[in-house]
Amino acid sequence: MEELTIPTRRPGASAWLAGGLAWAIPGAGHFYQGHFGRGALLGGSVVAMYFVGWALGGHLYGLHNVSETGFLAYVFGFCDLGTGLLYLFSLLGNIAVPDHSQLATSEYGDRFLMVAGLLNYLSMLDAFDIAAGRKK
Amino acid sequence: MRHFLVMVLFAAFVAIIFGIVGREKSSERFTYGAKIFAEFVGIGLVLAWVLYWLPL
Repeated sequence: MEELTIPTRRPGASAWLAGGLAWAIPGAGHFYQGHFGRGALLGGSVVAMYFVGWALGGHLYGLHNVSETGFLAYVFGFCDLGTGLLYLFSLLGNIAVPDHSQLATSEYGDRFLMVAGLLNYLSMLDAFDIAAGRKK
Repeated sequence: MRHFLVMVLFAAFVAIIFGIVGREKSSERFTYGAKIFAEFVGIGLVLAWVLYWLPL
């Protein structure tokens, strides 16, 4: 029977820093730990998915959508927030914020933007786990 | 055709990330990612055909 090892020490500050960096800049958490290939693939995929979503006519959700979308604006906004500084700078620069629902692919674009954020949350957790010693 | 290509692109991005975070060895990452990609595209095609016959 395989022996299970349960980590007993709390994750250090570097784990939280790796996770935070991974959220802010896709792939940065892995770069911080020297995993350049993984960081490039993860970050590149998230950023590419974000720009494909934008190109398809998708738009970012946030507090500005609450009046028209209701509760779902919080859910979709949380998903979009996963792309970190990309999301924040896009909101500030009014990039991928206007609604292009007249485009046939705009709903695909919305999903691409949301899933890019969700996948970056996964990447963030992976970076945290590696820094905490739970994964290699 | 555009819809299919968008679905394939979506599946590719998800498969890359799932493959990397889901496994620890490089060879396992590649096969797991390929499996995820095939499942996404396959299930998408199956759902497309199921929904095609529904009178909506």
